[in-house]
Amino acid sequence: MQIILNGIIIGGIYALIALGFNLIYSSVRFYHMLYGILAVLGVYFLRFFQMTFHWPFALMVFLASFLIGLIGMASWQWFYRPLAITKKASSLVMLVLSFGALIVVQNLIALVWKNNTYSISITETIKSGYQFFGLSITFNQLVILITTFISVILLELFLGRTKWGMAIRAIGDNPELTTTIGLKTNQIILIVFFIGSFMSSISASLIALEIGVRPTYGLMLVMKAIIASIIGGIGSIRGAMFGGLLLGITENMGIYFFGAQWQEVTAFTLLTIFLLFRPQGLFQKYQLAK
Amino acid sequence: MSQSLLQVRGLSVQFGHNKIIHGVDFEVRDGEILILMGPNGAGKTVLLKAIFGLFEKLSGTVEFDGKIIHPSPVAMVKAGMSFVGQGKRVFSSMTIEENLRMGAFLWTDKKMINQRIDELVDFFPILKKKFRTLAYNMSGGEQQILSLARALMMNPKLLICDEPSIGLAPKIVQQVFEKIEEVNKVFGTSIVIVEHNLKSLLKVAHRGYIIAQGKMVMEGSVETLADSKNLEKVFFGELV
Repeated sequence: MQIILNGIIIGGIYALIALGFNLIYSSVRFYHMLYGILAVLGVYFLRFFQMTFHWPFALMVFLASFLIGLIGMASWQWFYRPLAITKKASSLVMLVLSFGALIVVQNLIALVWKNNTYSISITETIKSGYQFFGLSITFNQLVILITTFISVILLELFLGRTKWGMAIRAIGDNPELTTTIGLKTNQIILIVFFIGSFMSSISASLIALEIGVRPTYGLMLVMKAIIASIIGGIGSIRGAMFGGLLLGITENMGIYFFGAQWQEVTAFTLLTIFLLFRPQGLFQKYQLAK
Repeated sequence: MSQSLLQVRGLSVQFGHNKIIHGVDFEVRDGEILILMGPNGAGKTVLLKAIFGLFEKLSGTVEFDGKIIHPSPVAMVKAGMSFVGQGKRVFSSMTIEENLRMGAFLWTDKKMINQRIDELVDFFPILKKKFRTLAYNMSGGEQQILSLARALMMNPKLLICDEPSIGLAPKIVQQVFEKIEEVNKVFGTSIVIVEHNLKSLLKVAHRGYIIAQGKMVMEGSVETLADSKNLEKVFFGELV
């Protein structure tokens, strides 16, 4: 049970990171690889705030994520959009472009903050764990669980109950149609990039609480988002959530049975199984071939 | 019925070096159902999309409801024009209710939106029955009705339907056209229909244009246009 609980905790973070990734993918239909490194950059901003200002932790996470949200918006407006919309670049071109940008930002981060692993702690005094029904959970893990839970609920409410949330779902469903009903699609995509990037930074901050973050983790994070998205069904918000959870639990089982060095192997084995037997994922929306 | 609602003068559209529409004049009168027909590749869809602002025009003017407008979907929707395109016509992962709400995205008054939804589900009873169903689970004909209803949400003065019969069984096509005629009569909406399926529209449409190779080649009553000799000439390229 403890392995499953640990899996749910890490899976919750994967779910969160996959949710943001999927939200952006649904709207622009290309793999936004830069997403992973923006998440990592959020942790470096958070660490900078922690060392400089000593404000409440939640406020600093919010501010760092807000900044990442703005950078995410800028990345669409001035980096992707000129190619994707004006030049009508293919999704493959956008993927390569985005991957290149990830490498550049990753190296810039290493240049400024060095290539070390940084972990974040809320307070040095609260490190001890809690016991529930024979299961143990640390304070950081509790924060991760609660943050993930609240974020998913807020996102679900936003997408399901608000006018702008509905517009985001509409763009993901049928972008051509949204233009004909008078929606300013670029405005909606900017909102999507803000929310997605904001969520990526929150999830990377949660990872920093648990295992720490280094510049090269950007690629790892976006890969996890992609795997969780494919498992859940690319383009599906609910799928991303369940895909993330399943990935987290499977990885933890892998670590328990085969050792920590098998974590990535377990993740990619799960991906391969899905690609072979259920390529459309748990919650089918778009076939991978499309 | 004689007052002009939409006046298009000298409209040209070019993609790269290819001119698709060559200085076309086009008029829709208040309260009429107008059919735009022509062979495949004649430029029907391009013309209507350029009028709606989905394609950039090269030259020409678009005057709608007495005002010259630079076409853009947002400007056209605000001015009172609605467009039902070909292909995937609905938001399939959303419920009928959500699809209808999306049709009035530019409206801010929730009461007005709810009132309009009530009016439209009364007008299209099939939508009432399946109100909370995902559009994905509807048949092709039902989806077409939903797309019509969504396009009517903001009570447009002009409704443009691009090949509404595409992919539908003949019996369903007849029902869709009957509904389009009813929309025209009940709401007074002017309607432009791009259609190959002329026979189904004979009883419905008031006037029509024939377009071929990006040029308007005929204008007149539906009966005149439906004359088999004229149609043959258009489809064999003799009228261009």
